[in-house]
Amino acid sequence: MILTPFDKIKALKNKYRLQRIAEFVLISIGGGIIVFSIASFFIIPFLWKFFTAFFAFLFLLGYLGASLFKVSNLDITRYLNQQYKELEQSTDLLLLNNNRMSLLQQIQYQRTLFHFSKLYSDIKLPHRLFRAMYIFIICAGVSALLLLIPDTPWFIQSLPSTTGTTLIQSNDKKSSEIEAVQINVFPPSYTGLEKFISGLSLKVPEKSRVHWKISFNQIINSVKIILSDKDSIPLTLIDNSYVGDKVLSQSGFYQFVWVDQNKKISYSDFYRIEIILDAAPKVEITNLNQFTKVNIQDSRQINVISHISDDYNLTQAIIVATVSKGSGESLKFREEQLHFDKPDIISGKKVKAERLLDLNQLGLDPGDELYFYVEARDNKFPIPNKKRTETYFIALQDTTSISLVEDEGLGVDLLPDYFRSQRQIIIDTEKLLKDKKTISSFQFRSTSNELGFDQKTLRLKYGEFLGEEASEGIGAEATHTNEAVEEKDLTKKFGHQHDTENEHHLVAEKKEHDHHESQDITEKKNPLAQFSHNHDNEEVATFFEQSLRAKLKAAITVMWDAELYLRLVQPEKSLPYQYQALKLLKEISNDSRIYVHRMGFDPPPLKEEKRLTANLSDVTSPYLQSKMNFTDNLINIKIAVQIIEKFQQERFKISPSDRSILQKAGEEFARIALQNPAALPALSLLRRLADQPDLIQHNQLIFIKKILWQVLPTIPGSPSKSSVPLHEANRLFIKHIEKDNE
Amino acid sequence: MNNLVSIDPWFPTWVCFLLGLVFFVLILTEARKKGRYRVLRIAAQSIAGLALMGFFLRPSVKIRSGREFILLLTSGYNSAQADSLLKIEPYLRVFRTEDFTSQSKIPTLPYAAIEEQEKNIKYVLGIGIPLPELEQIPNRKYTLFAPQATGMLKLVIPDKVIINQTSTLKGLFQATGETKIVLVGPGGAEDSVQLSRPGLHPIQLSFRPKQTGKFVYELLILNKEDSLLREPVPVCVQQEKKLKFLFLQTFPTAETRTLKNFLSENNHAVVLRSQISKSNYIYEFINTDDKNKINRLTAEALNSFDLLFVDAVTIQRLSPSEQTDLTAAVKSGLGIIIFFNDNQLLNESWLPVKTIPANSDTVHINFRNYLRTLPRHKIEVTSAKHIEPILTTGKNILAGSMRMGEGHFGFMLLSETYSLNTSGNPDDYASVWITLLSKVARAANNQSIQITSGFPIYNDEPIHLKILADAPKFYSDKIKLPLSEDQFVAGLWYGKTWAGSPGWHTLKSDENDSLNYYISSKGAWKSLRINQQVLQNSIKMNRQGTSSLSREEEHWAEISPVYFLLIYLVCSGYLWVWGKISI
Repeated sequence: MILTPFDKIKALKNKYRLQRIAEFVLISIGGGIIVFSIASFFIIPFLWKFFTAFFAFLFLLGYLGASLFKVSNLDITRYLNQQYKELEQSTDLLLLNNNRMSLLQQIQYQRTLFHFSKLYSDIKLPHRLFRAMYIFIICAGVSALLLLIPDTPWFIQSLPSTTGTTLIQSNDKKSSEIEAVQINVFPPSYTGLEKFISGLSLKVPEKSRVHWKISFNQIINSVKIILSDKDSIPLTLIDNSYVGDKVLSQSGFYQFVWVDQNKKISYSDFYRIEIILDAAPKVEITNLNQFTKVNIQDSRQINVISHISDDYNLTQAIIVATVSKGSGESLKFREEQLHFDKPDIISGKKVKAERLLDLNQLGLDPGDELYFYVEARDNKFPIPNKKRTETYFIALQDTTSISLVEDEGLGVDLLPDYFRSQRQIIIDTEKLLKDKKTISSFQFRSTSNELGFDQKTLRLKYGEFLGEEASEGIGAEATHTNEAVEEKDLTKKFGHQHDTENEHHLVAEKKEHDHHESQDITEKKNPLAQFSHNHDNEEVATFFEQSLRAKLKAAITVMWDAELYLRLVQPEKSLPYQYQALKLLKEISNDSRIYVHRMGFDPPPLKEEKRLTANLSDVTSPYLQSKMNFTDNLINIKIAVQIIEKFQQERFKISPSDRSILQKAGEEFARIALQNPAALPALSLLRRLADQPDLIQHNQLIFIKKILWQVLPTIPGSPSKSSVPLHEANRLFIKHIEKDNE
Repeated sequence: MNNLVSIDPWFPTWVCFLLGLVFFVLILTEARKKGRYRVLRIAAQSIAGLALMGFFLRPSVKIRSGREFILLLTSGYNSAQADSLLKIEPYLRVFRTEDFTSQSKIPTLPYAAIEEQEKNIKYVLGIGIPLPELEQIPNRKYTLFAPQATGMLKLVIPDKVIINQTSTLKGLFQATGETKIVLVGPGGAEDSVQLSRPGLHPIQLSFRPKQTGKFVYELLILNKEDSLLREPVPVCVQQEKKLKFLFLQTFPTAETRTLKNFLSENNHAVVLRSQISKSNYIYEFINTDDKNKINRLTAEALNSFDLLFVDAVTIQRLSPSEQTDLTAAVKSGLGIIIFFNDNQLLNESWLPVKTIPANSDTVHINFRNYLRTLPRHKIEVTSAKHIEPILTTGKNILAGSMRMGEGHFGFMLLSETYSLNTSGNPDDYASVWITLLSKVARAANNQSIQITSGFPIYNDEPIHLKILADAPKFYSDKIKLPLSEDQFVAGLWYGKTWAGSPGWHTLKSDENDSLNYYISSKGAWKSLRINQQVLQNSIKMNRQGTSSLSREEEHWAEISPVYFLLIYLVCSGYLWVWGKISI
């Protein structure tokens, strides 16, 4: 479609209007949201705020946009004449009817039209869209800031309702209502926190003093706050407001209860109390392993760096060190409290503390051990929180050989035979090396291999102690080997078998290690068996304390190397590993000082004259009698569900006994609600049902019932006696059937 | 012809026959006479003779009734069907029932008048006459043209819902499109079913109540057009009735131990006897004050128990007198469940079952959401009697029961059900045992009361009761019910009551037996009620045998003798006049 010049000017006018409208809309929205955020400072409903802002928007838009309706085509041509000289101040001609123009006008019309057509696409109409955009953004930012400003002192919080209904449960407009609640929270001074204003749901530090100030729409007789722990806070009237305070140290919930002048008792909803507990300090030692071994040639000075932190403030941190001297029965302990070198005074929320431990100064001799931990305390009053690290061990190695302590007075000898075996292997290895030149190469190799096997057996046995039975157990491997060899090598049936896992009968022979086989069958039958039998879990199954595990693991690792070189017929390379293994084993044997009482079964004395007489006359059948007594902690909730269901259907008048049940159900439910604050609305409604059942709506009843039902546990069913009538007619019928069957 | 004309002569038939002969002679005489109009004269003579015969024989003819038949329109009728019927039978008078108010121009046939007009009602269009009014009509000989019902056509709410046990709601639903049905209980949605295609669908919805009481669940029916229908489902949840169990075993097993714990933890009374020597036993009495040691089975001892668990070895060791007493106890109501020992067969002659070896030693059982393999005894149980299967896999009966007199005999072929419990599935363990135990255990001897009116029952509608008891006294909401005894079966009573308001009501007897029933609001369960109404209308019409369409309302109408006399006089007159003229 070809546009006439008139249409084009009209299009320009419309474009101009649109641009300006967009500009004004942006500015008006900006103004509107500013008004909204200012309105948010007042206690008015959301809809009121919204409408205020909307009217502000409309007002601005109308005010700014009114002039746009006056814009005419002539204004556009005037603008074009001013802006574009090529049009020669003749754009007005484009609006005129061509037929009525004079000749001169027609010539000028053609010239103007030519230039106008050329310029048309490039014509830019005046607008301030970008300025409007900036204004909008600024307004939005200012509004956001206004809305984010925390409650100002004069701010009185409008009452939230957890159930979407009003706080007051009365339909009577003349009934007393809470007008405003102001809650100030004063955290304990040691926390260093400033007082703050809270909403109705409280989240306060432990031991904070909470100050309530409530005003009502009319004078009331009394008001108090009921807490979930049955405690209550009576509020006193001061300056037309009721005030009261309480130091809170337990999470729960509370509600307001007041009696008006008509002696009518009203309840508010329940509100949550969440206590932020003062956490104990966090302490850790970052630069040391839990077990540190100090060789004789190493430095005797060990720096301990500890990072300590607390949520409020730290007041003290010390190192508690215990020096263990001696061995066996003559073991002696000495405890010392050491302060950190840096910083001098422990204070602040985060501290990096250091202390150089001088083992000589602490009096540690070779073979002695130092146990220590770091303990920190915070500034909690009156009893500070304290926390300590795990115990760290520093062992000063002894240069002298370690002798085995075997106290014959102990009830149980926990040292297995293998503790002597490692020494025996060393002796045999040394002997082998000594005899190397005198014996044949074959014998040397064979003996070295046999020693390797001994070393393996020893390793596996210790592995068993560590709980490695499943992964590399002797039995499992042996069973497998036997199965593989049994069919192929018949000579073993008739010959003497060497190089078995128990060649020297160092441990009692196990008849059959069928555990795995039976376990496989069990697993096939019951896939859950693997979860109920932890015997094969090496992380769990151990005969040793955790502190010995590392040593034992190290010993086993060293034994691997010792065995490797013996198998490679390099006993001289194996010896250092064997020494190391022996050393570790000795340490373990010294560390595991345990005493176990002897236990046994003492049968009652037999009367010899009664033995083998086959006289059972005095033997009676024993019996056991028991009763399962279950206390139902939710009995009132169960009955309450029935009452609510009936009330929902019939809307009957709730009797005092039903009310009592509902109140008790509320108490039972409160215990659950304590752990689940989301259930508080149901608790409020339950209370309301007990006190003002007429005000409860149908959907609220459904809600309470649903929550209470969900609280009830799902338990497996139980068989029940059927109630088939056994009338004479039935009996006759059954008899006839029986006859027919026979 | 006899079917069309009937005669009722004034005189004996032979007299009429003679009279006929006389007329025949007269006709012949007339035929012999010469003259004009001979044919006319013969005809006049014949007609006169016949008319006279007609006068004396008093013939009646079968004619169709002259009554006006009624086309009764009820709710949900199809107007095209009505138009079609009126086209075929335009003489039909159209009425509507009182409940059908949308066509106010059509005259109403009050329910009170239906009985009176019943003989004239020929067609009923729509869902039929409401059930309470239907009962009042003694004869129902109309033809019903009912619309295709949609929605819930049938709903079976379990009579006995026990706390913590899974119960199932069954129904038939005619879907018109994609539909979702959700069963909502007090704690929220319990179960749901999605119907993707239109058509008739059987549905099952399960629920497991956690508390006893009279509840109203809701069935939400949401179709593709997002229309939501909420229908009340009354559920009366009962506490389980406690049982008393006796275990007799030669040695303790994990199976009996777990079962004993399961029962005693649910507060059932349990007495357990394990053999420790030939004549000595160890007893456990749980949840009972009873301390009677049962060294030998007697009828007296067994009558105090509801269910006896006994292992196969103990069964085989019973003395003949014990066998007799046990059989008598079972026949008088005791339940007995056999535990098999390993795969040992049990073929005692006095037992109602025989055992044969089976091949399989494991079974796969499909529990709620997983398949579980459980060991079973390599035994199959057979019986001459009907075995009611309780737990099955394929064709194999793993647990079953059969009636022995008033008691039941049951068996369980699963050998390690305790593993379900120990592996953390106590619900599945319970589900394996509950049905068997509840079925086999001694039943309580109650009065039987049954509501024969189908669900839903609306307020102010009659509720029909059937009671099996000796001289029962029942009260509906404290009002004593009048009952009438069946004329053939002694102890079978019928009654009728009305409930005025929607909600739960109770029927109570003076022996503390009670029955809770629910009265629905008028608008509830429309589809169910429509289907019932259509069904009842159809059934009762069919009971009468014939369809109105093939039945003509006809009767014998006597032809007035005046006509014959007149015809005779005219004919005789003509003959007389002709005689005079011809002279």
